[in-house]
Amino acid sequence: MSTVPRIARIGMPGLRVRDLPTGGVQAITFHAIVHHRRALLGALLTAIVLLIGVVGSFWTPYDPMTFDTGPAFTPPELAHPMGTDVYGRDILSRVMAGAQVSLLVSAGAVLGSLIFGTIIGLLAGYLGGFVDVVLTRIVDIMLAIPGLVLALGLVTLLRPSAFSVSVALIAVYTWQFARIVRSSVVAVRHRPYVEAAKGLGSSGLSIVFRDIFPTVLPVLIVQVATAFAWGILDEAAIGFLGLGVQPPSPSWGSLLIEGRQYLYDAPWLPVGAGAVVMVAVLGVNLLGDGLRDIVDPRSGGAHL
Amino acid sequence: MLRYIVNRLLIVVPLLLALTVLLFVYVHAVPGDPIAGMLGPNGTPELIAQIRTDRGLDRPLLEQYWSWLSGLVAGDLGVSLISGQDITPIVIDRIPATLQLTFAGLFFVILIGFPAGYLAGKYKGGWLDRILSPAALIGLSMPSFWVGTLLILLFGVQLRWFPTGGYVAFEDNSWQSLRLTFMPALVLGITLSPFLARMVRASTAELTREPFVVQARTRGLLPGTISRRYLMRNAILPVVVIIGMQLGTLIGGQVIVEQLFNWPGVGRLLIEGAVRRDYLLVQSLIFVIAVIYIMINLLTEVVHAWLDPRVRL
Repeated sequence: MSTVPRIARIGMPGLRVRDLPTGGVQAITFHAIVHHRRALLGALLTAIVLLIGVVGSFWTPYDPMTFDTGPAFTPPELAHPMGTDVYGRDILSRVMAGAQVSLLVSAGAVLGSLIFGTIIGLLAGYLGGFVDVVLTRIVDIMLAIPGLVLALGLVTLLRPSAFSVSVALIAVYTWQFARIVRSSVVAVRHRPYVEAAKGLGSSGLSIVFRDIFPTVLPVLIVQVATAFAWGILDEAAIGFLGLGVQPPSPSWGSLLIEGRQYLYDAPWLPVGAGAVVMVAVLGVNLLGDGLRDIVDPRSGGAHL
Repeated sequence: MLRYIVNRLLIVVPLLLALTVLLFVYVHAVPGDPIAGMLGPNGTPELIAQIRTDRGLDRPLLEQYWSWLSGLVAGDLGVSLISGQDITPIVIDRIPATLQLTFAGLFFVILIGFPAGYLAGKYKGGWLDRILSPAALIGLSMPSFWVGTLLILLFGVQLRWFPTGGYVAFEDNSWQSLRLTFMPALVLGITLSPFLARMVRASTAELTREPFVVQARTRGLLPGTISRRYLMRNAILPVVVIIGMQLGTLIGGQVIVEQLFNWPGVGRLLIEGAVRRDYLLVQSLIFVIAVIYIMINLLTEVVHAWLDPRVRL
């Protein structure tokens, strides 16, 4: 592992001079995550949530769609740890079954915007000139529309479903990815090693993917974690507004609308479903924060 | 200063123009027939065709865009796809409520976010920081509708201190209006202040190591004087910029909060339109929201330039 020269650290009084790891993708190792408290906690929470999603896709304590697994509006108890809803459906089962939908919607949104955003960002940053000007303007304008508002507008035009929510979120998140990738590409475009590759006669594609893309990767990894957290929150928000996955199919979003209807009869429904969303988002956020510290050690130093 | 403002305004014009093009493309690039989707099983081909002609949707796209754009310039937002009513008066009716909530929300964001970030940054690594920093991360992860639900259950249902939703114009009944604004604005404050707090914390922590602060300390100035004269003043500057950056999230969050608290603002109108799949209404509303967003953003830039003359250059 290479290190930052000691000389760079002398300017800070009171700090013990210690070699800092330089970060980068290579810095993301099992060791680094285990030794970073926030990254570890985040990784564990994320793993638990993913596990719930996987388990929930083939096993739940009760069938999530079956009525009368217990009396309607049972408060949380041993047989129903998160209570039951108006039809006596078990909420824990519905949360578990909904996890996979919510996580898949968010994952799809991140994957799509990662692909499109990276392509746009690489094109704008590497080609420069007219292409860059046009693409950058488009990105600026798209980012000038509040994200959730645009997503809601797009969901309106599509049939309300998990797939539509994913598509709408891709159309919103892509621009953020594009901006980040573009600025990283511009930063390295004229580095000597890129010029050297050009001089050696590498093709444009090979320069972009072998020389430029790896330098963008650390930022992208952190952005993926951030966007995944947004995705979970936005899916739940869109569902809560009644425009996402429609009840009775369970997703965290659709559970929340049902929760809102019976807020006074069964407060444990919205409180429980919301708490699950929060834990999932918190896990991903912690992981993202931790990864940021690991890939860019000079950025952080926050406490937990 | 005036030149700065005029310059910024001139940049907004092409931005808005391009925004209309992109919005129009977005709306019309979507496959499928929204009218058939809106009418559902009641949509006979004749009825669909009739609505198309009535709303001018059978005309060439370029012509449709032109009539929408020239309408916007004249302050006409077009008609609703479903009811055929003019959108402009409905929106104007709702803007005061929306702005009231936006500014009340901003108030809470700053009220919570700035002191928390400032203190955590000033005593970085201290016990307060150890409480506030994780709290900010948790706050960042809480969905606004969840915070809202919890507040309704606590203040509205359990304690009965505040009404659970609704809106009264400030001119009609100021006290009741403020009481109604409290909870939705607090939700915005709680969910959005963590971001501000984190940024202020980072910049304040940086400030404590700046040469002019170190120098003030070695001059033997009292800690209180240093805080007031050097730390606080400089820590406030980035707040304005961060508020500008956060505005989009605030407005998005506001849509949810308006829905949760039955707040008759533009956000709720957007949801009503979206639920009924009235895409003409949605298209114009997104434009209106983007304009509000760009204008408030401009306002924060002007305030920033006024606070910090270096920006005006």
